[in-house]
Amino acid sequence: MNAPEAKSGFRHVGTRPVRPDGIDKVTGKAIYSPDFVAPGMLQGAILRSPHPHARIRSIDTSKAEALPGVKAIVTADDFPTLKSLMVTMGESAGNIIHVSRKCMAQGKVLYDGHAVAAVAATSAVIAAEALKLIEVDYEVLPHVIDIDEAMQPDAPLLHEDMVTEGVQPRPDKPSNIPTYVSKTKGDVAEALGRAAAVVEGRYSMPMVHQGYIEPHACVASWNADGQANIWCSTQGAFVVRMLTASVLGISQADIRVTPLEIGGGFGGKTTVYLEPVAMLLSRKSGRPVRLAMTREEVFRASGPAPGVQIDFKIGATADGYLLGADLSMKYNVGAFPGNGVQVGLITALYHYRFESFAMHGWNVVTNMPGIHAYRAPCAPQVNFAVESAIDELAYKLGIDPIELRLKNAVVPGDPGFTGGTLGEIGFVECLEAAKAHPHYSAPLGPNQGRGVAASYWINAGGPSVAAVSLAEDGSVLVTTGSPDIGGSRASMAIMAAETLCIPYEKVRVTIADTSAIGFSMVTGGSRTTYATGKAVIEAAETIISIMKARAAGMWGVDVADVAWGDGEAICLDPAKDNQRLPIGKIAARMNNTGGPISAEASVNPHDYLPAFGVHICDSEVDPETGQTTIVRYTAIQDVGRAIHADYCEGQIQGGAVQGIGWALNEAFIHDKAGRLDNPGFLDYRVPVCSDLPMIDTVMVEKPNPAHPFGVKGVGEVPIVPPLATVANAVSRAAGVRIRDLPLSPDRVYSAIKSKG
Amino acid sequence: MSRVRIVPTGAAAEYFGGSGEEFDAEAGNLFQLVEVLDARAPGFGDAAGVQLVFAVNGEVTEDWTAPLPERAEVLIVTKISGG
Amino acid sequence: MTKQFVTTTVNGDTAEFICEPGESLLDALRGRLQLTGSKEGCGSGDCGACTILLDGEMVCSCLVFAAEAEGRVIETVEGMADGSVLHPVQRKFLEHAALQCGFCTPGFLVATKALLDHNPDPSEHEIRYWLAGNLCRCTGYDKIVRAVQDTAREMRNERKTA
Repeated sequence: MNAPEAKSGFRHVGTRPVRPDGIDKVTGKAIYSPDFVAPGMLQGAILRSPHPHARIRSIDTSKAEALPGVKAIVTADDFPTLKSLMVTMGESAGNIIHVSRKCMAQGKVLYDGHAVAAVAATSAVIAAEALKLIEVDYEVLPHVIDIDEAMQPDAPLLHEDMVTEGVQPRPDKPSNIPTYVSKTKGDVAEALGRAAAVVEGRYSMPMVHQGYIEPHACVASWNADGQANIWCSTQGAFVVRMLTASVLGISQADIRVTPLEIGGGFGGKTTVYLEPVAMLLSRKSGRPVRLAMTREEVFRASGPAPGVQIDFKIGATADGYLLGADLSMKYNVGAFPGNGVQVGLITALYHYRFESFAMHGWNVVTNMPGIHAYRAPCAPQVNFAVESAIDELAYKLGIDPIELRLKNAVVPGDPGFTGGTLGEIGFVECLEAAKAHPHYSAPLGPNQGRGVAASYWINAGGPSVAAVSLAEDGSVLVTTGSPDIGGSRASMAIMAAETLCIPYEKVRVTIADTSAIGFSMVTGGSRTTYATGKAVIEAAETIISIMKARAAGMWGVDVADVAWGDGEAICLDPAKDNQRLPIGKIAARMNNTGGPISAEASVNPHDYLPAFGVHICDSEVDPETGQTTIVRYTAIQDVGRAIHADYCEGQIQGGAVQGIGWALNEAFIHDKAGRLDNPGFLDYRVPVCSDLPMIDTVMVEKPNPAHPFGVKGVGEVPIVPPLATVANAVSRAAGVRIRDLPLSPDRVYSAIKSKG
Repeated sequence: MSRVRIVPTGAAAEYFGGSGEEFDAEAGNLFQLVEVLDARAPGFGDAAGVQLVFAVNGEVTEDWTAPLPERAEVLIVTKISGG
Repeated sequence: MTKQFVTTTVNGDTAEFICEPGESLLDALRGRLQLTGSKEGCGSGDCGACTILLDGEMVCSCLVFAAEAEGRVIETVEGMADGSVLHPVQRKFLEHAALQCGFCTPGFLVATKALLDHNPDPSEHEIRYWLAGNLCRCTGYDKIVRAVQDTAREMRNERKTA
């Protein structure tokens, strides 16, 4: 609660009202996906591979089928054969064959936990019993987990038909490298040759997981006439509809997806793992079927974030101007080709004005679950390398790390990520705010070190639909197709109330199912308040136009003589003596003035702006144990303009803490047999309350001129800087540079010991 | 009809020889351009808009009906995902 | 195996259910009694989303057998409000925006109530350690801790004036 309250010119924007879905969520009434019950519902369960890589010779389900209470069993044979087809998921594309194979292994299992069969039974106990009776004959194959090993010519091949895209000439042999990308500018070797200081290093980190507390779950009910209902927790009901229909080869209009309350997603709930399987079980059994993952299944068989190995070399002039960067990135994308290094390429270096750079990147498939989006997907990994090296460079040159960043920071008008130029970005403002923050000049205690890092995220726009309608008493209904994952109902209500100039409590927001409103892209990419917000504002503006026309009709004046303000129509015709018609009176008479007042807006905006963040961290390292404590943390971010100040801060704090966990503790650990060794919260250690101090936030507000209230995306960029921020702080505290994450006590301790 | 400069990057480059070499094409809008490019590289049309997006003179352009300016630079980039 | 018949008290009312011998109290609350406010985030006592009070003591209901509830007194998130009047900690969580997705919230609310029943004036340090068994992945805990501090302050003031 440390940001400015409602700003001049606004009545609601920037305030902190209680969220409209709040009481349901503090009283246990809200229905999340594992809470939903359909009449006659069966309980499903999934049999998962114990092997990271194996050919499925045969599956015998006869004994399981004979178990009383078992109503349906599904294997890969029940899935339609699909042609390779790229489909839009979230904001990126994926091959529908891979989506299908993540739901059910086809021919081969590619990771420990890969689904091989599913059962629906009258109880969870019987379903679990039935899984034990399914006999799978595996031909176990050699597996590969490590990036370097997977790139070897003699490595076990995951996909016999996969050749590297982006290499000339096209390779004639398959490999585990689906993608090569590169981008160069100028002559890096020459530029680095002129540098007064050069920093070079290899950086690495393992796969990590989004760690949403609610495991994936859904209920599906598929009727004999082909029509189906799916109730699930998702960041995008429309993407569930499209992917399920595509995997099953059925019409999208036949599937109605109702998004239930969602218990966290962070990008991980923008695809399907269970829904097509539950659909098939439902069709076979003729009953609704629930499938719900356990925590172990979430870790073993959903979509983590890639691990990386990055080589980076950077040089600058004596006065701190960046000359060249040589970047080579390998992203471990798990079992299927994914969007890894492609994003690394555009989120690595574009926040600074490099005279020259050379970037090369490879995606590498391994016998781990296929990656999926995790908050600013793929940016934190490369940012860790870049911002660690920048820090070292500043240290080497004896320049303050923020000062060095200021000398090189991009400003509006500099080249953008897709050609063209950058708009009203607030990077310099964030750096200046960090420099001026009392945290940056506060004294440090013994064994403490301070780190800073800076980063950006491109953000996103994209299609959204919103409907606004008036109730007969003048209260207002807003309907969107954007699931509320962190308070967006409140933001939508604020924007509608602001536009209509009415009290916040007079607006109620509903998240509709896919059959009740037109298409919206996922809640993700930091797009919802910006893009769906634009749709809400546009629909509310249409409502105002309609109400002005209705008021004009009631007064018998020209519509040009009607203005809108303070929640009422104002008659400008002097003959009418400045009469006013409040929204309630217009609504009460709407069926005498032309019928219901309702408007829908369908938008596809792309005038979003990238977000920039600068974080400061003080860490204390215990030289006896290598244990790191975060003693102070400040996150500074250009938010454009905060709509709901609390939920903006909450995004920044939550992102920062996920990043702190990534830096200090979190890692997928596989044993020699290629099995995930830590598929639970005891051993996959996300930050807990006692690990942390308060997370101070500073919201820099440089409005986006293309949004009526100035919104820029907020949710993702805060996870990007913490990795390097914490690593820089730890390196200062420990007196030794550590380039591998996580900064676990054993790693930090060894580094301290090895420096002697 | 405008003459525009095509700059294929990443996955888009795959459709045009893989080297990412720039080339010229003639089209009135992006719908026409996609048709032209699909004729040149079969399958491109299916990827356009799903896997690939267009930036015309630096601006990501979702409205394919907008006339292409003469000499415009059309950058084709891979769609990327947010969380 | 024979099913068990259990008679217990939940949020002040007598409740009866039949359960499997190996069934967790969490599953019984959610499945048998339709009290789905308590959540399962892990099933292994690591996340605290299923936190309830059993005879006044804070426990992870996923680690308690349903049959152990026989004759005991259970309090869940559904019983915190007094009718339609929210418990102060519920109100403060809303005022401080101490929830984003809300999935971990029931566990935090019950744990906070237990804390303040034991210790009406906890330090920030005590709050953070008491709540260390409850995972929240959305908020970074900042607003949760502030909401707890503010609840404690208000409840102390109410006691003084009462």
